[in-house]
Amino acid sequence: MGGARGRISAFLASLREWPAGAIRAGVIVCVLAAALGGLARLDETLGPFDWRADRNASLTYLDREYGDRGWALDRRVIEDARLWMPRDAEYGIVLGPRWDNLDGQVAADFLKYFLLPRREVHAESASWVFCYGCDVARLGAGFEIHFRGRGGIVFGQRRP
Amino acid sequence: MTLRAITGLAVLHVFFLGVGSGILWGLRGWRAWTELARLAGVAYLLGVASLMVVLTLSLVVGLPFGPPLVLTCGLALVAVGILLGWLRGRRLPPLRPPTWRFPAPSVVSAVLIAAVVVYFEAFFRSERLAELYDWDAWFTWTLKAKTLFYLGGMEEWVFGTAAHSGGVLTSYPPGFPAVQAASFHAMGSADVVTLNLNYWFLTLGFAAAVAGLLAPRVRSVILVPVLLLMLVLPGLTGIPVPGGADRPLAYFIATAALLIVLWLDERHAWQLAAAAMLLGGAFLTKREGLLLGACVLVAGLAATWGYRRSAWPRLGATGLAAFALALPWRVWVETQSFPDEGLETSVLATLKNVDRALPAFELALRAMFGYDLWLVLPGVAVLAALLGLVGGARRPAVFALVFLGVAVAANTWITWSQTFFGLTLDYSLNPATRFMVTPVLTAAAVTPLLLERVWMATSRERALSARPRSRRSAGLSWAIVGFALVAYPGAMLTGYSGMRLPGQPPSFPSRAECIRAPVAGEPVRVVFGYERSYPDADALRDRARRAGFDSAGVARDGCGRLRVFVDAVPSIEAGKALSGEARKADLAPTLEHDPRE
Repeated sequence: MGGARGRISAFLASLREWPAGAIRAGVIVCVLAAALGGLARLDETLGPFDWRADRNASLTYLDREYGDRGWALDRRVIEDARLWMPRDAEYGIVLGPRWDNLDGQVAADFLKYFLLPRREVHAESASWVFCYGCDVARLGAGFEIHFRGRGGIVFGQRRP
Repeated sequence: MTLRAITGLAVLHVFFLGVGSGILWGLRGWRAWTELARLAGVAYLLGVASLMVVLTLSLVVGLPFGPPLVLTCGLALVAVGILLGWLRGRRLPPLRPPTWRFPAPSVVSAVLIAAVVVYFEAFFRSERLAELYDWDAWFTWTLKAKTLFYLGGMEEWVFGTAAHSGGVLTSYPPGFPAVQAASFHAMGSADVVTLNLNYWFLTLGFAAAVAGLLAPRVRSVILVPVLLLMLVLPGLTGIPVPGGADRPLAYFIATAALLIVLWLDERHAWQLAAAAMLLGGAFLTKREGLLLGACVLVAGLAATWGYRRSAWPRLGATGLAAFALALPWRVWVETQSFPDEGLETSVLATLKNVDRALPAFELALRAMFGYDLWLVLPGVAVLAALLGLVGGARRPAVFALVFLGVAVAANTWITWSQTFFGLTLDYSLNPATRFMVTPVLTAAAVTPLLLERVWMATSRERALSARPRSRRSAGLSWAIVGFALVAYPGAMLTGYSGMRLPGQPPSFPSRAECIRAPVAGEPVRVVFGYERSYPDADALRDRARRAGFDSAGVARDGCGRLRVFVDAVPSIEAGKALSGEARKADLAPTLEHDPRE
């Protein structure tokens, strides 16, 4: 006990040395700040982790698979398209005036990401077409609509 | 989302560790296997970085991506490491050195280690079922990863100039997508949910790398608090772009910087060689890797000013080697006629926007020192560096201060020159915060070393020696860590409210969650099967109709499949009778609850 007290006294005395003691005191401040900061923040870190885990667990299978925060504009169209097109299908995207903007561009990006391994090609040569508010009549007489979604979004197939 | 996917991913990360161990054997070797265990984090990061380098080279020359390529590249790297080790005369080491004792942290350190253990358990749980929702994550990285996984190469319409609609970010390197694509193969599918666990493995690897490098040089009572603070930083745990490559970039750069700081005093060649490999990996992770790697090298040059004739050629060679590792990709990019991505890199154009300079600098400072992002860590790092300047740790102190200063300058330049970035810390409008992840983690990695060096230089201690602990004290320390290991999953299973946990075993979602068991007294469906395409579903429906089930229909099941069924069957008994008839027609019906009635 006396030994421990002696060591503590010697340690405290060493902190009064100048400038070494002051520098060591600075080290102690840094370590204490890190330890207290880390421990104090731990609970606030675990809370969001647990919240996220619980939220993730409550999602449906498709919510999780899509991870969609509105990028798809109308998820039902993509879901139907995925069920129509074979895995080696080639599709085109036509953006009409209403969707020829950032929202339409991002929706097109999402299709590329989500529908892989199906490939995007020029709409003129594609047998499957996503039409975002475009003039459907321009897609040809043989164009058969499979799904008509919100916002004038249409998915269909060109028949020969 | 399945146990098989998690296991596959874990096996892949063990593979990374194995590859990196081979590299480490060639660069450094180890005197005992316990030493490899200590350096496992460094080996793991070396494995990821070196595979990224070799896989990128393979993609550039047009080799088809797939498990054979990943395995071949990994085994080739291990072979190179073993060959290097053989050339240097290394021999198979013993399990442990004769004087080795099982590490026994102090009780205080054990409490902090226990906190780190709980942190990783909770982190794993939060990532396991996370969605991949961020635009940057799926567009910049996972789109390319899925392309490599499904189509086996850098398809022009994704990686090149042949995009038909939407945007392109063609000059982003394919290193991290290659790791993600390898993950898909290991998991057995393009499981973009379980993919998030990659960040868990990478974070564990980085923490282990920092701890392993510093453990023999820094006492645990200094090391563990800084490590814990680093892990709980809001700017890291709430990283604004889940699914992005900011974390791996930061881990590569920070570990490379730490190796260079160690080299400043120890001058082991392997430290620079490993740093070059990690910097090469960083260059192939994100475009910013080049800028941040340059910051590390500038800091290294500044810290070695006093002996620049001997140090600068070595540091220069390290930078050149790292750049050479990424060169095939840079050459490939330069040979493509990519569309302009709107990045402004000319000095003249930057000077035109001189009115943005000061606000950009203020923003960079706020991004570096914001308490909401990084707590007290940058302040502690700067104080530690200032103490180092006056307290006998001059070289690492100069490195830390110059690195942070250059990083702030670089971040300032980004906001200043790219006028489409808003003068805000909102990550969707300006990447200033994300850019600072790397400098802050680098500061966190270097700070414990600075503090230890200062302490040693100003005390009467001659060398860092582990204080022998009694069996009882060591037992108590490990009991604390062991308790933390089981407490979190235990609280999850039992639903201990103090931990805000739900009290149930972990779920492994599958498409089967859309199948509903029949309920007595409620209407049922007779389901003839589930199909993944309309043609297949229509064919099954037609078979059912030919068997007499005229009302058989097809509908989406809510889990990405098509259900072929007859619904509105009044009871389970009636359903069983219909099922019997269906079986006679070689159909395989099942009964499910019909919630629509």
